[in-house]
Amino acid sequence: MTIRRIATSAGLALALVTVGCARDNSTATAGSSPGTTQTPQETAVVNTENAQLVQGDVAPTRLFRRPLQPGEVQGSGLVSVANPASPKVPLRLPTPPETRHFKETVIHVPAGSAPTEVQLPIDAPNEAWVMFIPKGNDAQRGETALRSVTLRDPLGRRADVEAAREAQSKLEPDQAERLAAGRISRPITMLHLNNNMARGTYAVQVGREAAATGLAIEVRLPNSPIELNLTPSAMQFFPGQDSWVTIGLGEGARIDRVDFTAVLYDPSFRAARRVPVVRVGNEYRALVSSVFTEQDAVGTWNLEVRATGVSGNQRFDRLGSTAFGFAVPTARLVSVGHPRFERGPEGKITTLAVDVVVESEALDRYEISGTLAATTPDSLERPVAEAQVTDLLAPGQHTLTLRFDAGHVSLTKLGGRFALRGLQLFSLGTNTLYHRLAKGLDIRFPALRVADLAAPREITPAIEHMMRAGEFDLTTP
Amino acid sequence: MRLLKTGLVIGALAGALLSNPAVARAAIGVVFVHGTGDQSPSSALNSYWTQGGIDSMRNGEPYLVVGYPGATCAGFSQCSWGPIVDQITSWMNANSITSFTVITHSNGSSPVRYLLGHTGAVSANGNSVANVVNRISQVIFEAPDLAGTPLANQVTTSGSFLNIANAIVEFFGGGSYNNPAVVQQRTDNMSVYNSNGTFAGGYGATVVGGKPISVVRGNKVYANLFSSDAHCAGYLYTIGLKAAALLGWGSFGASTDGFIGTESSGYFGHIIIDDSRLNHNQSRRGCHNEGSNVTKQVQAATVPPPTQQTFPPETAMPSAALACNAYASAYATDYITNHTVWHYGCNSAWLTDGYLDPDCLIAYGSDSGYAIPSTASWNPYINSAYFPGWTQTCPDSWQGDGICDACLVAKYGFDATTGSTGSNDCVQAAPGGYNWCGDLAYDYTYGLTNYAVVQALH
Repeated sequence: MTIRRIATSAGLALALVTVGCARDNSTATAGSSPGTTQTPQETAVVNTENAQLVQGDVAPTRLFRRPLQPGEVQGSGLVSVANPASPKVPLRLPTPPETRHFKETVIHVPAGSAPTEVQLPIDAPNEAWVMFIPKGNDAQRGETALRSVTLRDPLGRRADVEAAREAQSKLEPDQAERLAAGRISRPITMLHLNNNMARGTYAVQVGREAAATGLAIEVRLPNSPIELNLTPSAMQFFPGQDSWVTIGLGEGARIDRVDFTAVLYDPSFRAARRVPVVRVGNEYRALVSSVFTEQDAVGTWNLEVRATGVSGNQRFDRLGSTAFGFAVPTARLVSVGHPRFERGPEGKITTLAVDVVVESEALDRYEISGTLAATTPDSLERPVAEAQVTDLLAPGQHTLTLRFDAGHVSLTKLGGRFALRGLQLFSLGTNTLYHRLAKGLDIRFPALRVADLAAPREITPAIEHMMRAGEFDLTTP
Repeated sequence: MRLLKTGLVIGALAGALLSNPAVARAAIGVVFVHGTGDQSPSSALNSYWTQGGIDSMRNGEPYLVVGYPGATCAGFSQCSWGPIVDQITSWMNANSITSFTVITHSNGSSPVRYLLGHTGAVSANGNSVANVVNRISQVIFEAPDLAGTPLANQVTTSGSFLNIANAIVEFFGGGSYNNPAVVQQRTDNMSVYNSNGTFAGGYGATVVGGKPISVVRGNKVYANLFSSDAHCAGYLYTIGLKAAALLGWGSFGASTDGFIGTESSGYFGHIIIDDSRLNHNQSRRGCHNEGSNVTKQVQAATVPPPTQQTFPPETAMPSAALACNAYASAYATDYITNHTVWHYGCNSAWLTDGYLDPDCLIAYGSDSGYAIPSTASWNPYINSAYFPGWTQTCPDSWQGDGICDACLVAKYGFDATTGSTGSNDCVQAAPGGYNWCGDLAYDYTYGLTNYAVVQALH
């Protein structure tokens, strides 16, 4: 895979503006519909390099080439789709990378092991759960295996009998329900600890049957101040971009010592490689970008982090994971512009169109989507129509046109100065997002009145359902 | 009754009728898309949905039950949504379908969300997604996995997942649960797919890809052992899902249908059913009045808000053992073969003799430490070796056919058609009457154990 840097010179930027007003032959079908007239409107073309990125935006800095994969079927031909939208739900920015919280761990006894004892650090026994989960899918063997597993508290006393009874009453407080649930053949052992139980290192004695079968021991400590937090620096990573996962351990925890093990899992969920974890200021980071290359599989990757250490003379063990996308972009949005109205014979607006220029480095079926938004008196932006255009694009620059159906917009009875939002470029060949600008470069159409809009060409069954559900009626809740 | 046992014939006939353009010329229809699991159209119909479940929801409209690799392919993969597009295209063309409702169950929502978001895609066979999506009038997601399930995290993270019950494993596509569709359903992965446009539909949306979205979901697993509501669609599934709910794997600390937490099933869409007696399995079978309300949605009639929906009263499940004299050992005549057979029966002493006696499972609910309902490997009623005279081993299509089948009782704890008003084959006849009973028996003509249908006199 070769790398091509995106030019940032003024010369190319000027050229892009020119391209934004033209169409190449490959996308001619994306132009105006027969029988309509175009009304010249604002012809501003905005280059994506001037974009102010907002939460959830994705913007590649380099493009890569990608050969077609054996058997890859992409189809040909342009598909332009316009959809109605419900203004009931205001537009939201894309979800930011979420922080995932973990007060739990899983410790494994591999199948085929000899009888052993597993140390289980429990720093907050109140409301804690311990689960013994036999490996494999032989339920009969699993039940037998569980009979050879016991839990002892830090003082060496049997803790599993009382904890199992606690679990029963906790899981099903209703006595009748509990009796019914008692018939459930439990394939795992559930133990519930309480505040009267000792804090410290518990011991799980794994007998011959359980060790041979294999056992996963899951511990959940909801009242522990030590909480493993994982936050990707972005929802999606590109090769060459700095990207990491921030690791926290909870603000209320006093950590005397901690070691991290971070392992990447590829999109097939196979453990791929270790990731270095470093301290940066007051936080720890798993430096994901340091182990990614453009040769890696695109898709959703997972990072599993184990934190072990000491807090106030008490050992702890936490395990958690998070996910993020990894894409090797072969295309990007170059510019957006030329928002315009197309009118029918009666002068009504039939289509709101806007051109999007795409730069491609590899043959692929690319999809551009956008949402048309109105601003209502409550100062909220609400969707009034959606459009999507897809085509097979060879390397080079191409202009595709998003065409919003004015009839769909008319259903919302909203007018004004509509804005382009949620502009994104998606690769159907790799099923990955290459470029997203939630604010759509703030492209706006000239102001219009509802009376300017043509009626819907067709009330489809889907629109009928939406009307019946009040999706277009902002006067009802 | 003999014909009733040959469900395959009936299924094949129905399939032929549906695929014959000369027979079906309707303009609207309903498409059913199953969840995780590699299914053919026929297995999706007979095992995943069941004919009763389909019929309870389709409002009498022509329908298509698609089958696709829903386990080995994640919902965004062409090998998952491609066959769905291909089958719908063929069905639309053959039957001149101009508009249709899509009903999905569980992770069947994922490939459909992909289609709604990527109309420019084409299947490997060259069929256009746009041509299919254009004719979708509405989408009804049943128990959808819109934001993932902790169960998927559990099975992939711990690297172990003992059968809570086979029912649970089935919802992950059978024994091979660590498959691409399950990995896709991890909550952290679904967060990415929901964010990066892979799957259409943002939080709180009610219209996705120009199509109105309705959601049917359960929020609790009701497992009263003697309630018809709990037995609907199979008590084994109910207890499996109850276990999952109790163990916190179907959404720890939140309301759940046993498999999907309501925070996932309610991620977006109009929630038209929000029921505490509709577990993950039941939501694909039209239980607890679900079929009636989904039918209303299909026909664009008004569905009462979830808080105003009413349900038929639950009924007690009578003892199958009493109906079939499962305690008694006796000679009998096999109604199917006319052979003399020995009905094993079970006396209390056999409960502790260390052997697993089939009729003891039925008569006493347990034997040698094992309890019914169970589809576990020790259950002799699901061992095809004991069905030498049959082409099928205790299929679900035997429910409600007038024969109280011990094999179904062993599997599910009951033998009745779905729905609390469905016929129950194991209601004990009045004194002087009789029940027809299917049970394992020794066939003296064959010289082996066979599944026999005998008359139980009362």
